[in-house]
Amino acid sequence: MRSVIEAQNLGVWFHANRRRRMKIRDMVLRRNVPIPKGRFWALRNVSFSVGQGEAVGLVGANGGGKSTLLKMIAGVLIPDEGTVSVHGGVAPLIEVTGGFVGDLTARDNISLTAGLHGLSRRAINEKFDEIVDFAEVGEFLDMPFRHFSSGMKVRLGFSVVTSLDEPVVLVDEVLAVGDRAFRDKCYRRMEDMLSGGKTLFLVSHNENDLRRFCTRGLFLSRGQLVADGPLEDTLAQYNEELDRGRS
Amino acid sequence: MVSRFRAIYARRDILRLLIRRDLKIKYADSKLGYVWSVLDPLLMAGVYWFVFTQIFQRGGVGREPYLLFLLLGILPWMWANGVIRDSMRALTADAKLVRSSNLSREVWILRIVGSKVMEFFFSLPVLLLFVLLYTREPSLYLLAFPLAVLIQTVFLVGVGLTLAPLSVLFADIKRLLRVVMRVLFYLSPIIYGVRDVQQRAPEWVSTIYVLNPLAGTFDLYRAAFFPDFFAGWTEVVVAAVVSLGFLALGMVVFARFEGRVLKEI
Repeated sequence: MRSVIEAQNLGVWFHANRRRRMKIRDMVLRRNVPIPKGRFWALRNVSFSVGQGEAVGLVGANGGGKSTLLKMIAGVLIPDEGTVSVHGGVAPLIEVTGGFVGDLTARDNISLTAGLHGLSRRAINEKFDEIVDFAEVGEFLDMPFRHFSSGMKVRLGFSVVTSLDEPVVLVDEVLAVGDRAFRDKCYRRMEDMLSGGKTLFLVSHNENDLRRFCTRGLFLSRGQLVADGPLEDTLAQYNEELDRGRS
Repeated sequence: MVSRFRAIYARRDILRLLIRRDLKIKYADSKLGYVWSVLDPLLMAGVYWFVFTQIFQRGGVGREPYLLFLLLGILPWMWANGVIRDSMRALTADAKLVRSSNLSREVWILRIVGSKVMEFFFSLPVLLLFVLLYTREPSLYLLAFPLAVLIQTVFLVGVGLTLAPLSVLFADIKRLLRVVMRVLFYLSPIIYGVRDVQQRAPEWVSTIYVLNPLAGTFDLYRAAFFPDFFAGWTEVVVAAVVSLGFLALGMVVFARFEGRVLKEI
């Protein structure tokens, strides 16, 4: 099986101290150089590889590094250690409404966001109707995006990103939103994508969602990859750790 | 480095889209948009004209018609000033967009330089108006106008690439830059010409003076209508070399701090 995502010894740190930014004075006088001090590793020594068509579920407690890992696979965060390489493009369903601008109409937002994710102008024009249909926002196309309801915003975001037709799809908890009818539609589209040979990376706290799509599970705990194997085994280990923490 | 250029070129569609969106917001959303954008340079030129022709005697500094002379410095200054001011917010103003896509992030600076150069072009009819008003004939130097635009673009891209990440990481860059820009206004040939510096200041001063790339470029713009006042091609070459230096610096700084910036926004 050809590997599509390859992470090697991945690590990234953040500042732990509260003062976010340095002053120029600090740099010039070289006092309190904040880089080595007060940082914590959000993720460290994480290595794995994902083959084409695999569906991987990512589990772990809050703060375990799941979203951070997803962001690095999506290329919107750059690792401090190690590498992650993705063969082919990524369709990131992370903060799906993040790329939208409140003042622009839905129409402009679709071209802008699809363009930011790498779709050419011609491809955008071709897919425009499909995106609008799926999101069910046809009658609001010329309304400023900030007047959209939160459900509509997510629907449009999901619709744009899933139409990107990239070989790797990253999903971060978006399935939790939207009404049931739309959720079913999302499930169907994700199943279509999976059966179309796409690689899926799913972050979720919902075991039903994980069981529905994924065959393999990764378990991240405090930035370390503690389990990588068949989904059921990983889930069992995760639950065991949760129970241990409770008692 | 080459691969980064190629990556940016591959995404020129989105760059065009972003620039068009900026211009749309600037011009289409308010009916007076165009008037506003030329009012500022006109007002500035008017004030300096008033001060330096009606109140102070310039004593031969600059050339007549002084209003046209001023505009040829002020219009490109507005472009430079706009880019440098906006590039400090390049990565934070649309932080959500920057955070949610993995395109070459240099695009966020190129977009600012691009939309400001378009605004500069849109303001040129004002210049034309005064050229006609004063019935001033262009010289052959007008052909070099695009060259000056190119040099200034290279310079501003370099400065933008340097300032954008640094202003995210360092809190007080913005305040520092506000002072620097005020000083730079008087240290660029706007209310006077490069020749005035060379004739009046000691030689070592004018040597340092032309290291500011805006000196050579503004002088070249001006040569189109004040050919006898042109300081010479040496100054233009210096401007081009220093601009390329800034571009190299900007690319290094941007690549160096990109990862840390992404954590902060």
